[in-house]
Amino acid sequence: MGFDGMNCPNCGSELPHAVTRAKMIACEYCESTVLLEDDALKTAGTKGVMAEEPSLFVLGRELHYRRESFLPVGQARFSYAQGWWDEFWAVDGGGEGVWVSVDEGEIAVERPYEIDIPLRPDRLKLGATVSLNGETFRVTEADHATCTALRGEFPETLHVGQTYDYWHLSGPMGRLVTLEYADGEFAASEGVWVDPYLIRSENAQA
Amino acid sequence: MTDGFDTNTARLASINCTSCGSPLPALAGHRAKSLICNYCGAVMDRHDEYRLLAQYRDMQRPDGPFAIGMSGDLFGVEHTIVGVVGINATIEGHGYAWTNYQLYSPTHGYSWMTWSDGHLTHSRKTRDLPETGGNFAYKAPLAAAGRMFKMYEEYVARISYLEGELTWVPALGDATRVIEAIDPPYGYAVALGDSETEFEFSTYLDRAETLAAFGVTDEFTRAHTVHAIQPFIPGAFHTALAKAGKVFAPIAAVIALILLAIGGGEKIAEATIADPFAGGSVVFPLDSSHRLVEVGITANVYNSWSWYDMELTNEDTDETIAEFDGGVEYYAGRDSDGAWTEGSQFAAFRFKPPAPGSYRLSVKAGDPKSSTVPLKVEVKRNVMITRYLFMLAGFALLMWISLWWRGARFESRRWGEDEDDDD
Amino acid sequence: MTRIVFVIFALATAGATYAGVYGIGGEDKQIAKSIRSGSSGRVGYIGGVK
Repeated sequence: MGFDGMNCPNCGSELPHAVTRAKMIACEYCESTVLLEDDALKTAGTKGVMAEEPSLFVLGRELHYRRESFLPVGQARFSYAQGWWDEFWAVDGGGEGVWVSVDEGEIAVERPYEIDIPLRPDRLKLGATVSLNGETFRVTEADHATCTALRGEFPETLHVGQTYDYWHLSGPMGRLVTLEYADGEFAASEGVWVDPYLIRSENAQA
Repeated sequence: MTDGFDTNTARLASINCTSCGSPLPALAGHRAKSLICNYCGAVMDRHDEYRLLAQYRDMQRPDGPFAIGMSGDLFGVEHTIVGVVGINATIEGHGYAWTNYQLYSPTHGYSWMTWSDGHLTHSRKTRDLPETGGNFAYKAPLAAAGRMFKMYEEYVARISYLEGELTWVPALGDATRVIEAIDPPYGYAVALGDSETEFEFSTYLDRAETLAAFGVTDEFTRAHTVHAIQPFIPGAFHTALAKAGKVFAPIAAVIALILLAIGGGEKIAEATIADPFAGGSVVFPLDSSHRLVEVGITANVYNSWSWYDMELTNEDTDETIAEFDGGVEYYAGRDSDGAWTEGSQFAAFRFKPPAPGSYRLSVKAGDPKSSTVPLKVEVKRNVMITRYLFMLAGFALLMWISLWWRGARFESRRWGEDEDDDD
Repeated sequence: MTRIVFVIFALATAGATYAGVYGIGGEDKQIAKSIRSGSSGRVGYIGGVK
């Protein structure tokens, strides 16, 4: 792809573009999110208002956790019944993109998870058991969330105002699988819990 | 949205108790599930419009240095005290009580600070599950969170007091079986509740530093026990003495042994005096006034004694340098305890000459009742002494051992194996 | 602190070695006293007899 020297189709400002795999960028200067499709740039929607909150994760600041490192490049905020959480799209030490969910010190690194059986949203009730890839999980959270704000770059298209159904499935030995359902499709990721007290940053504000 | 913790809404500073109307601080984040009123004991559901769930009146707030609303730095992270939980437990027949403070940090979430008999510890939920397990025997190893812990104790903790914002909906009297393992200054606990098992990682906190961080003046009783995960931290001076002792005890001992081996002196003259009453003398050259000279007298006295007058003269000037006397006595026998001996057939006299030169030592029996046995006179120069080095080696060893001893005593107090420490 | 104590122990070891080699303090007091006073008289009990 050739997006060097890209400019926002809405306000004309230069778009920062750090990750080649990004498919969407929130403009720093105006309210727009911009889709990167083939050689064309297209306004996708608005980026919403991201209230400043204390966070261990800050866009563009690399973090170290045990033997891994993460560079957050995108931040999406979702609100749910109890409050809100952030999903950071980050590049890990191996150059792979990962999602990191951050909710008041509950931090999980999420990597894609293949589901071997078809799932039905109406069967995923709180407390229900689900067998995935030979492991038994229990539905520990079933809720829906709305995207409220976007910053930085993303590997997929996200829209402020879009609502997702999601489920947290807890398995043996602290295993966590998150299911998302939007537009008739499931997406699954496997989460690995991160101890916030072991996260190191060069100039952590925490 | 069911409460005020929306992204775009300013945090509420306080909320009124839905039961008694008292204003209560609202400091925790949205994941805290309950709020317990410290005036009326109402337990409210924070996720359901502060609905009243239960009420516990007349709860006695447990002792402790902190109060809800206090903030302080722990591990470089600002934590705020949002809740208080009193715990009672019976361990090996003894009743114990401690106070857990629910901490909240917007970046690090929820954790605990515990005040127990004047000790402070921090605990947080961990997802690092035990890698080994099943064996809860005393001192059995437990690998978890990249460390090797030792099983410490097992008890049932019961909630005796509730206040403020907590991450779950508690009930007074709720019991949790806890298994604790330690690797000071860290601890690892498995808490087996009714519905779920949680794992906690604990760190011992420096009391003075922590109280200062939270702005609390330390006017509390000092800890008189050793906490399970309290590290043994001797004073810097004793640590330094022990380290130096460990290095210098063998060095001083080796040098002492070398001096012992080579420092017996070099024989420079010898004479046998057949008749002590007639006397005799021995002449010897001394090349240094700084090295020790030893005159050894051997006489085979047996159940008798000999006494000699000695005179040291400078051969070159014929000047008397010193006059002294001394002798030997030796007794032996047998009694109900077996054979015994007393005294010695040898006597040594050590001196340094006033100047290098040739010296004569004259020896003559100095008492008419003295034994008549012949005597042998032997003169050695460059005699060394080892007592300073042995004393130093002993002191160094003592410093080294004393620290080890203090550490061992501390460990035995930690494990409750010290008979003197029966708290 | 450790460095200071190590220096003190090193000095003490050196001092003890020096004093040992040169027999400092190893003289019989009575003989030393007699030598200092220029050989005046007997100096009392020394040696094996009590």
